[in-house]
Amino acid sequence: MSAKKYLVGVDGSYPSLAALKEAVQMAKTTGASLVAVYVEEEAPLLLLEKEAEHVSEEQWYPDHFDPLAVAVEYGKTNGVEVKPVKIKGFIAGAILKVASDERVDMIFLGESGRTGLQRLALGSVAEGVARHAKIPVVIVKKEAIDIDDVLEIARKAPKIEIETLVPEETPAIFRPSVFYRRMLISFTLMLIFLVYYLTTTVINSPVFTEIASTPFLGMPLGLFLAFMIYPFAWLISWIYIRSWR
Amino acid sequence: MQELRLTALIIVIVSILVTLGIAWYSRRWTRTTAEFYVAGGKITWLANGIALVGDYLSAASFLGVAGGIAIFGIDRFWDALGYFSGYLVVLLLIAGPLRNVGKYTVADVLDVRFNSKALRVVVMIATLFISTFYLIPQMLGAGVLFQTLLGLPYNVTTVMIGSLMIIYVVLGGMRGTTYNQIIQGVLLWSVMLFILILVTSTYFHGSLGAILDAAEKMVPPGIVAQNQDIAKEISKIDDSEKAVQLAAEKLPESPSALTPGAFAKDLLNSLAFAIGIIFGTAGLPHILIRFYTVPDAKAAKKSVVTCLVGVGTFYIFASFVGLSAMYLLYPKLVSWLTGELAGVAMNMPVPLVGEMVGGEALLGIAAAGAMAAMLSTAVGLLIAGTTSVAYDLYKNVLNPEASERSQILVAKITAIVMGIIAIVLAIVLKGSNVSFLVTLAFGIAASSLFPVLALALWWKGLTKQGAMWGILTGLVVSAVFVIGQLMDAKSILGLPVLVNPGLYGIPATFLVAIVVSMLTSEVGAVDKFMAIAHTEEA
Repeated sequence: MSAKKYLVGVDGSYPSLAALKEAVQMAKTTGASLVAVYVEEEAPLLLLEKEAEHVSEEQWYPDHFDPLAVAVEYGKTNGVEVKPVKIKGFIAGAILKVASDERVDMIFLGESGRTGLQRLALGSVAEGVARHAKIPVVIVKKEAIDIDDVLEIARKAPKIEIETLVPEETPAIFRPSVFYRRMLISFTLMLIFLVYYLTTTVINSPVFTEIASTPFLGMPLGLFLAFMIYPFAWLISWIYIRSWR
Repeated sequence: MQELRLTALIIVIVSILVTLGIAWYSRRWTRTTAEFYVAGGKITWLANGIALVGDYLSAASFLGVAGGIAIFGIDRFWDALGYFSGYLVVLLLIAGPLRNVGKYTVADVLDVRFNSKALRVVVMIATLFISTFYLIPQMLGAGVLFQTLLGLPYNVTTVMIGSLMIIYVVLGGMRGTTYNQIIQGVLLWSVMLFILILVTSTYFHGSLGAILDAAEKMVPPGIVAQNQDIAKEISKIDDSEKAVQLAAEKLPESPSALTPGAFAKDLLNSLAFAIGIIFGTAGLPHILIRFYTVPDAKAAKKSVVTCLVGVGTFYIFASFVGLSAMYLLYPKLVSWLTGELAGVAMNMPVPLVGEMVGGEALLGIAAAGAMAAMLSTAVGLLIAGTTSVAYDLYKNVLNPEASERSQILVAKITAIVMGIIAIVLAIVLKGSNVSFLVTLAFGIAASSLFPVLALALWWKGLTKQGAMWGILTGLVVSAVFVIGQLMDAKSILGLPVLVNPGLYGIPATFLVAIVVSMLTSEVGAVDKFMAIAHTEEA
C-alpha cells in the first residue's frame, strides 16, 4: 500500500486557506503528500460582466498573492510535500479531474459560509464536488480554523511559475477524409435547401404573380410553398444530424 | 390611442424588474453552481436549444414580423422565412466547426487561425457597426411600446427607455444567463400561440383557413396608405369588414395580402430581401456565444435543431397573427400609417390584437414579453460591441499595458456612445418597422462577416489580407446601400438601390476575399486550425 495523497483546492480566498491548513496538518499526521489545485476559471463572460463578478466577490479575498506558492511554502514549513497544479476549466469539474488523474484519497475544500439568499444565488463549489466525488471530501469552514499562520506565510511566499494544464489537449490531426465528407454533406444539403428557398422566392416575386396565385390546398400556391420552407428545413436538419459523424 | 394603459404598464414594469433580478442573481448562480461546472457546462442540448430560441427572438421577431405582415401581407413573410432559414445556414456551415474551435466571437475564431491585430480591428469595426445598427430597432421597438402604454410622445419614450438600457449596462448589467433565455423563449413562444388561439377562436370560427380567406380579400394597408384620399375615407369606417370591402372596391388592381407585390416591387428586390436575411444570422456578433454552454459539437448541432423547430413554429404562429391583425385592425392601421402613428401601426399589431382578445392584461403580457426580448437583445449587443472595442481595439492595439479598470472604462464610454447613436437614429427612423431595420442589419452581417467566417472555416486558401479586404468591402458596399435605402435613393453608381444590400454585398465580399487570397500567401495556422475545427468526435 502506497503513501496517502490528498488534494486541496486553493483560490486565495480565506476559506481556501483554512482548507489548506487543515489538509497540511492532516497530511503531516498521516505522512501523506498533497496536491494543491488552482483552477483558472473558464466562464463565458465578457469584460463588463467579469468586472461585476470581481466586485461582488472581493470580500472573500485577502490581498492578492499566488495561492499555489502559499500552498508550497506552507507545506515546506510543515514538512509536507506539496505538488502545485494549475488547471484551466470549469471549477468543480477541473478539481474532480485532477483528483482522479492524481489518484488522491481525499479532497479538502473551503466552504464560503454564504448564507440565505446569497447561498441560493451563489451556490457552492464544495457541495458540487462533494456530490460528484467518489472519495471522501472534507469541507472546511473558515470560522472553525485559525489561519493567522497561513496568512503570515501568504504575505511572504514568493511567486512560483508553473505551466497551466489545459485539459484534453490532445493534438488534433487534420483528416482530409473527414473534412471532405463533412464538406460534401454540408454543402450539398445547403445547396438543396437554397434551390428550394430561392425558387419559392422567385415564384413569390411580382414576376410570377399568376403562378403564385394559383389555388392549391385552399391557399395560393406561393403561400403554400413559403409555408413548406419550415418543414423542409426541419427535414434537411434531421438528415444532417443523422449523417453527422 | 394616446392614453395611459395602467394595468398593462404595471405588468410590463414588474416583469422588467423580475427579469433583471433573475439575470443578476442567476448569473452568479450559474457561475459557481457546481452542477453546471462539473460536466464542463452541463446544460443539455434541449435546454440550450430553447435558450437559443429566447436569444434569437428579439423585437424584430415578436413585434416586427407580424407587424410587417399586417401592413404588407405575404411579401413580408420573408422576414420570418429568412430569419428561420438563417439558422439552417448556421447549422450546416458554422455550428459544428465553431464549437470545435471553442471560440464564440468572429474575432476570436479568426484570431485562432490568423493571429493578426489588424484583422481583429477590422472585425471590431464590423462588429460595432452591425451591433449599433441592430440596436436601433430595439430602441425603436421599446419607444413605440412605451408610447402605446404611457400615451406619451414617441421621442420622449424612446429617449427615456433607451437611456435606461444604457444605464443598466453601464452599471454592470449582464446578459441573461441560459436560464433567463429559456424562460424568455418559452414565454414568447407561448404568448404568440396563445394570442393566435384566442384570435382564431374569437373571430375566425376556430379555423386558420378562415384567416387565409379573409386575407385573400384584403388590400394590404401599406398599399392603401399610399393613396391619401382612399386612406382618409377608409380611416373613417369603424367596421373592419366594411373597410376591407371598400378598399378592395377602390383598388381592384392591387395585390391582395396573399399575393406578391406590395413590398418588393420586382424580382431583384424579392431576391435581395430573401438572400440578405438568410445569410445574416451566421454573421451576427452576439448570437453564436450561446454555443459555449453545450458540451460538444454534436450537442451544439442538436441545440440548433431544437431551435429551428421552436423558432419555425413561432414564426408560423406570428404569420397568422399578422394576417388576422391586418383584418381586425384594418381601418386603424390605414389611419395610423398616414399620420403620426406609423410606428405603432408597423410594430404594435401583436400587442394590440392581444388587447382585443384578452384585454389589457394580455396586452400587458405581450408587451412584457416584447420588452424582455428587446432588453436582452439590446444588452447583449451593447456588451458584445463594447467588449470588442475595449479588447480588440484598446487593449490589443492602442494600449497593450491597459489595466482591467481602464478597459472597463473604455467599454462603458463605448456603451454610452453606441447607445446614444442608436437612440438618435431610432428617432430619425421613427415610423419604421423594426423587423425591416433588423433585415438591414442582417444584410450588413451577411455582406461582411458571414462570407469571411464561412471561408475561414472551410477554405484553406483564405489569407489574412483576403479576410481583411473581404470584410471591409462588404462593410462599405452594404453601408452605402443601406444608407441609400434609408434616404430613398433610387440608384447608386448605376445600380438600383434594393430593399437589402446583401445581393451586392455578399458576392462582392466573396469575390474580393477569394481574389486577394489568391494574390497573397498568409494563410495562417491553417493546418492546426482545420484540424481543430473539423476534428472527428468519439
